[in-house]
Order: sequence, then structure tokens, then C-alpha cells
Amino acid sequence: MKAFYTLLAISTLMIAVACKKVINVDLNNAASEIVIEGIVTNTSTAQVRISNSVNFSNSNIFPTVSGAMVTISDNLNNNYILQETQPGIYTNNNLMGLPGHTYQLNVNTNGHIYTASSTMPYQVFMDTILTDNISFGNKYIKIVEPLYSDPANVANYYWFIETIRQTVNKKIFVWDDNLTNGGISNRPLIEPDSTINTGDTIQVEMRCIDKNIYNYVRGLEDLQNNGTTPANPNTNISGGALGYFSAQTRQIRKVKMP
Amino acid sequence: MHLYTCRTILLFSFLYLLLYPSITSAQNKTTISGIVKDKVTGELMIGASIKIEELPGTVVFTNAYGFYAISTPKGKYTLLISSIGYTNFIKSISTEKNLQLNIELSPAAITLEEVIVASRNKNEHVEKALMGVEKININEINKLPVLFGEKDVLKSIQLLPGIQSAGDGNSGFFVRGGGADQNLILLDEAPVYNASHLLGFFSTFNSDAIKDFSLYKGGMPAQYGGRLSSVVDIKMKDGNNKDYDVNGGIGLISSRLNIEGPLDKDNGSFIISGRRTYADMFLKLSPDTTIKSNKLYFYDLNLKTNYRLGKKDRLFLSGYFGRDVLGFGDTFGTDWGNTTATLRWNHLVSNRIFSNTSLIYSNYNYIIKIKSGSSNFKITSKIEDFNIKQDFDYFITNNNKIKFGGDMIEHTVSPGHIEADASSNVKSSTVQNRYSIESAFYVSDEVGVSKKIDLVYGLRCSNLSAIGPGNYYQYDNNGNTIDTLHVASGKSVASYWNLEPRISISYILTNNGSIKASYNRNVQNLHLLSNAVTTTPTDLWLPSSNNVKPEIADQVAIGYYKNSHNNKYELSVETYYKLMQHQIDYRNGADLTANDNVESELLYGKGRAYGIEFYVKKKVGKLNGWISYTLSRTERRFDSINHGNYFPARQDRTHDLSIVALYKLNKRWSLSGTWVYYTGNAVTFPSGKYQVNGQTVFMYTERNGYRMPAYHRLDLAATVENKHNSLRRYQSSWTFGLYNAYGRENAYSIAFQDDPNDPTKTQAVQTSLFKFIPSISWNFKF
Repeated sequence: MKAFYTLLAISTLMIAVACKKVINVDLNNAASEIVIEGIVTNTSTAQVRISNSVNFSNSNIFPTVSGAMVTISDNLNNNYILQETQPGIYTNNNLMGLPGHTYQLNVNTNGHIYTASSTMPYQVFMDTILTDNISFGNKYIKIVEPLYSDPANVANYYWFIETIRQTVNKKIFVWDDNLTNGGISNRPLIEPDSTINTGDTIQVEMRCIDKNIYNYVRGLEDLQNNGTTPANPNTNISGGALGYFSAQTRQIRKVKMP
Repeated sequence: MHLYTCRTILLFSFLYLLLYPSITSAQNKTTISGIVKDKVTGELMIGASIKIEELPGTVVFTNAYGFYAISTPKGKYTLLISSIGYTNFIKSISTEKNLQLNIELSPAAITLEEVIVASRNKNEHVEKALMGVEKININEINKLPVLFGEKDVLKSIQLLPGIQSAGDGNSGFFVRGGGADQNLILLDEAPVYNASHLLGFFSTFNSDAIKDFSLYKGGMPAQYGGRLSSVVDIKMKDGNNKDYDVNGGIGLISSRLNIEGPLDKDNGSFIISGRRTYADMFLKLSPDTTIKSNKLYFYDLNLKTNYRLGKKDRLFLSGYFGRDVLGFGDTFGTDWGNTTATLRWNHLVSNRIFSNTSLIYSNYNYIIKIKSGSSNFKITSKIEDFNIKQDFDYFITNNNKIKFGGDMIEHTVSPGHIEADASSNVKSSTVQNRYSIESAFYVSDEVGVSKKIDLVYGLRCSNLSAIGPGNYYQYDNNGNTIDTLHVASGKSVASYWNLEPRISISYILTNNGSIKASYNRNVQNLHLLSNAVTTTPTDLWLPSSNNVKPEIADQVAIGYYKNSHNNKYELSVETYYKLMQHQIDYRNGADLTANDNVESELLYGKGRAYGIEFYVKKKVGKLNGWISYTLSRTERRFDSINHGNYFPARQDRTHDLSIVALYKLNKRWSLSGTWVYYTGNAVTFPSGKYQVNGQTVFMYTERNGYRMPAYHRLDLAATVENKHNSLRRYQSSWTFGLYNAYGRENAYSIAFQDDPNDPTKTQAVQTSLFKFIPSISWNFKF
């Protein structure tokens, strides 16, 4: 949080004098890597996407990986096989997650085996979404504040997805309960380049995630902030894949910006 | 290293040194001692030379407090006292018994042909054993072009070999492959923990208040310790004790005022020096109320006073207070700054033993205030030092001087404290304080072994003890807590003793050049955790503990020095090799702020740095200046980074070149220019991309495997002084500057992102900062 504010302060100072331009950087090519994004939620059926990385100079078309053996098991020894319903997308309509349960992912593609485990936390619900108009830098921006009561005596990790006029805001909002453990939180989703106007419908999805995924998403957030020593976020998948496997709760609320 | 061995070694070297003079010095010698001062201002003069004409080869230099002692057999002699920029002082003396002689030197009139006045000790850098020392003449750097016209010692030193800039317009620096935190920056002996303002663009040192500036990048004498790569020793002016003096300047972004004068003529003086920026004044002019309420400024205040208590004692009290303030309306506000205070007592134990006792306080803290919705809270953090220090200078013979002493520092580090309103949703909490005691004894001997060989050798014995109260943690290899140690108040949880040998030797060659060699071990017990390229206000100092071991560096250096054309030109070539142990890096995604388990986020590895530095300076004439070039490599190695292979450190730069020229056009106009070129920093760029959460994410394969584009820049300045009139007290000058005169767009950062115009593509975007920045400033003195 402090780091965020410091970066913000720096960037605001810089903007005063800085100039930006698109340049050509001669980047090395790297061998293509497997990317696994596995999600078990309590509101929709489980889904695993498998794709490949590409070189920087390529278009943003990421080859899908077909023909993998994908299974998810839970701690009650239920075993679910996921079928490839679209190229690179594996699903099972019988698998809806339950809070408190631990899920184990197993992926076998061309003889390579990748495994991961994630526990779905007990759900914390948003009571409402507050709105505010704050002064920020040299302007006022409209923001939303999800309001929820954080349970005491347990470590909670929250990830919020903001959708403004049906477009997902790319900015990552992720935090733990260190500042508010056992209290009410209305920590705002501050987007310095906010495009929210009066009358807009803002959708907020709240995801309760486990600690490994918190670390992973924070790693993504660090990349977004262009830190000085970028690194691949720490994945919870073993076997050498990029991506993550998360069992998470989800809840969606909407608010109309006054 | 045990305390016992450490003490024994020191004791033996000590006894040897104490006995040594009784063997060598004849009984019928007398000692002349005293202080050397500037005749106009009464400032104590550092490094003035005292020679006896009748005894060639006899030369001593004044210490940091202007004190000297020289011995002669009984007889009549001619004493010659000189210092760069001053008229030589000659006095006939008769030494029947010990003599106390205080000397005042007059500043020399500067002629057009001789811009930097030559003096008798101009060959000092060839003859003395100390190597790797850079001294800066404050008057000289005042003429160099700088960003926004703000003269700055920490920026000017970056033009010297082996000292690298931390980035465009930045006052941060790296010395011989060390990190920014491996420089010990002392202001009147007090460590300054964050030596920059406005996120690095200005240093905390107002050059109006500075008397002397030395930087040791190798061959550090044993009285200094605590950091791996360099010591920057800055001494504040004492203040004019003859007459009142007011000077100042008005610049583009800041103004300065300096007032000094006698408290009691010849016995005491004071100096007050202040500086404040006023970029925020322009914000006030904005019609927008939000912009009006933004804040952005810094200020510095330097104060010093001294008083002579009789012939043998003098007291000095100096202080520094500086602060940065930054705020966005009422949503966010932060301020940070250093406070230092030094009380010193100089005492003459005898005419050959000089003692200085110092009590030193240093504090760096920051406060962040955040108001969001109904939450109103404040985060504070600080590092605070109480330090007691005792030093003795013993002038045994003219060729042998020892320094010995010790110091003890109590460090308190408060990583973070959150204070929230009762109505706030954020809860008040505190990350526990860390306490430690850092102590050291040292002895250092400077001896002229023969006419050709000069030797400085010494030993420093240092300790750090991490103490309670507090919980200290033990971690497994993955950073998970496996045990908690509840340490009671004052109890030690880890204690590290280290011996730091320091030796430099010089040998004068027949062509009047010299060869020098040195070996140094340095130990560092305070480590700065920082995720940014340069230091930021919220960086955390972390003392050594049960998990964090002291950083250790061993450096060997060898060099060749030569002055030519009657000391008009100065040349040096130095090469060094440095090995560093227990260097610190971070796990991926490490959370370094307000984290009680921050030590679990650290990785430990090794470092090595080597290079060769060339320096040629023309010291006199209408056109003078220097060229410095460094060829170097700096690498780090960590088991879990880059498969355990050495990788270039961020500050690794193959080539680093500076050219500085000063030209005196006529009596009123002087021109200056600097050109710098260096290889871009080592950086981590992506080698691929993939998709997660429907967004493009970049893939990284190796640490610091790429280079930023090469950096180069030309700066120009012109200074015009008002007509000289020796009867008039009032003097003024205008300085015009142009930073980055040919508008090179140097890369400050390169970011990778989706192309906003074509979401199927990604692109690299370079941000550059300063291009054609003009400046104007007006300076006055009366």
C-alpha cells in the first residue's frame, strides 16, 4: 500500500517533465512454456485453460493446448475428469466448489505432469458498495468502495475485479486483512486514470482467495506497476508451468455512480 | 571472531605504537603545535601543510580541526605554512622549548593565468600513501552546470572516476560496484540516512554550509567503518569569527540564505544556512482549488556554532534539519527528513596529543497520512541513532602519527506504525522495533618508512549486537517461520565481531611518480531494503540479526600517480578488485514494507566488482578541468537467481566517461561544460508473453540480462560576476545554465504494454525525463 502511494507520488512528479515514446527493443526469443489457469468457484463450474507462451514480437494470439488429461480431486476423494469443451478449455459441469474444501489439480500433457492444490476460503460477503469523489493529484476522481466485515482470528485475502460500463478494469486490486483484521473495511478501488462518470454502472466482483494465490496475484500487480526487477509471479503449480490454480469464492454486486 | 582475540590484537598493536616513538625520537626535541586558520573568516583549515625549510622532507598536515604538531631539534628555523588557494606564510622561529603557534593564512588573490592557485602541497596526491580518496573543492564545483541550477556536491562527485550516477538528474551514487546503501554519508560525523530530496533529484547538502568534502572509495582509514563501498565525509563551515557575512542566492526552484559571524571575536562563531524550494508557490497560482491544495517542497537548515574555552579546549555544536513535504489535497500527504546533531569537544591533552569527543544524534523518519472514505490513518517509520565517539590524534614524530579511538552507537529502527482514528475502519498497529548496539575500536598509524615509502596501516574491530526487547524469528529455506525467540530487553540475540585490517603503501619512483597499493576489509551491519533503482523515502533500514549476517567486502587496489609540467597536470590510474559476502536480494514478490517477517523475504549471496579508473586533470590556467574514465564490471550471485550463476548488478556499467571543462573568459565571465557518457544499466526485460485472466502477462527468463540504452548528455553554464571593486563589500553574480544541451532523450525507464491502438500487439515505451532544461540563478554576498 505504501509502495503504491510512493510510486504514485513518483509518477505524478515525473509526469510534469517526462516524455514518452514507443521504441524498438531487440528482445531474445524464449522457448514456449505451458500456461495453466485453473479455477474452481462456488458460483460456476470448474474450468482449466491451457495455452502456450509466445515471443514478445508475436501477435497476442496464444496457442491453445489440446488433448491434455485434466483431473481435479477434492479432499473427500471425489475425482472429476475435465473434458476439452473448446480448444484448450477443459470443464466439468458437475464440479462446483465448496468453501473450506481443498482441491487438487492434475494436468498431463504430452507426458509432462503438472500438479497444484488450492483451498477455497470461507466466503466473506460484500454488504454494499459505497461511492465517493476524491481529490487525486490535480483532479477529482470517482471511486467505489466495497464494504464488508472482515472475520477476526483468520487470515483473509481479497481480490476485486472492477467492471466499468461492461469493460473490465485491468488494474489489479488485491489485499490482505493486515490493516483491518476483524473490522469493517471500505478500502477503495482507486484507479488514478479513472474513467467513471455519473450514471455509470459499476460492477464489483469480490473473490476470496488463499494465501498462495494472493502471492501470485500480488506478483501480477508488481508487474503492472513496472517494478525495477520484474519476475514471473510465484505460481502454485509444480512441474514448471506458468499460471495458477485457485479455488475461490465469488460474489458480484453493482452500483450506479451518483 | 571473539571479543577476546579482537581486543588482544588491538592491545598489542597499541602497545607497539606507544613504544615505537620512545625508540625513535631523540630526547632533545621540541614540539611546535597550534592551529591554522583562514585570516578573513577564522575558519579552521583542514590539510594545510607545515614545513621547515632547514629540514627538507619534514612536513606535517593539519587535522580535521586545523591542529598540527611538528617536532624539531633545538635551534632556529624557518617555518613555511601553505594551503591551496592561500598565500604562503613564512615565519622564523627559535625552538628552545615547546612552542604554541597559531597561524592565520590569507586567501590568495586570483589572477587570470592561475585560476586554481598552486601551492607547495600540490604534489600531495602523489606522495601520501592514502589512495582512493577524492577531495572536492567547493568553489570549483560551484561553477559546474547542474540541473535547475541547484549546485550539488553529490552530483558533482559523479563526474569523478569510480563514482557512478544513480540516474538522470539524480544525486544518488554508486561507488566501485557498491549499492546506494553501501555509502556512509557523514555530516559533521553524523550519519545521514537519506541524503536526497524530492525522490533523489537533489541532495540534502546545501553547499553554502560545507567547508570540506572527501570521498573514500578504497583505502579507507580505520577510523571510518560501517559501510562497504565508500565514506563521504562532509564537514560544515564553522562560521566567520572575524566579521558578519551574509550571502545567498535566488534560483529557479529554490532560494538560499547563509548568515555567519562572530559570537565573541576570535573565540567563537556561528553559521545559519537555509534553503527552501518553492515549486509549490506556482501551484498556489492555479485557479483549480484541488491543485491549489497540493504540496511539493523541501527545506534544509544547517546550524553550527563553536566556542574556544581557553587555550586547550574548544566546543562545537552543529545540527541539520531537513524535510520534504508532498501532498495531494486531503487524500494523501507525506513528509520525510533527517535530523542530525553533533556536540564535539576538542581538547589538547598535550602539545602532541589531540583529543576529540563527540556526542552524535541522527534521525530519519517519514510520515504518510491517508484519508480515504471514512478511513483516516497515519503511517510512521524511523531510524534513530545515539552515538558516542572518542578519537585521539597522537603526533609521535614528524613522520609518524597515530589515530586511535572508539565509538558506540545505539540504533532503533521502527519499521512501521499505523495510527488510525477511532472512527476509522483501519486498525492501529505496530511492527515491532528493532534495537541494536554497534561499537568499534580502531588504531591507525601513518608513518614515513623512508624518503620513498609512506605507509598507512590500521585495524578496526567492530561489533554489532542485535538486542531485545522483541520477537526474533527463525525461518526455513522457503521463508516459513519455524521458531520464535522472545528476547528480553537488553538481551542479545546475535552478536558479530569482525576485524577490519586496512593498509595502504606508496612508493615514490625516480620520475617523481608513485605507485600505491592498498588492501581493505569493510563490514556493514545496517542494510537498506529497497525495491527501487534509487533510494525512496519509504526504504527500510534493517540491522544485522540472527538471520541477517554482516556484509563484508575485501578490496585490493593498485595505482600509479604522476604530476607533470610543474604540477600543472595530475594523472592517476587505479585498478581494483572487490569481493563482497552476504549481499542481500529479495524473493519474488517480496513485501518489504511494514512487514514483521521481512527477514523471511531476503536472499543472501555474493558480489564481485573490478575495474580500472583513469583520471587526468589540468589544474591551472584559463582552461582547466578533467577527464575521467572507468572500465568496470559488477556482478552478484544468488543460489536461487539465474540458476546460481553470476549476473550483472543493476549498477553494472562497462564504460563511464566524464569530461569537465572550465574556462575563464575574462575577469567577469567564466564558462563551463560537462559531457558524460555511460553504458546503460543492466535490466530485466521480458523474453516472451502469455495470457492470464484475459490479460497479456510478460514472461521473464533471466535477471538483468538486458541493457538500457547508453546514456549521454552535455551541460553548459556561464557565470558573470559584477565588476570587481575591492572597496565594496557587496558582490553578486548571475549563473545561466542549460542541462542536456543537445536534448538527448535518455531512457529513465522502459515499460512493456499492450498497444493501445492495436490490442493484438505489444509495445515497448520509453520514458525520458530532462531535455533542454534551462536555469538561471542570482547569487549575492555582503
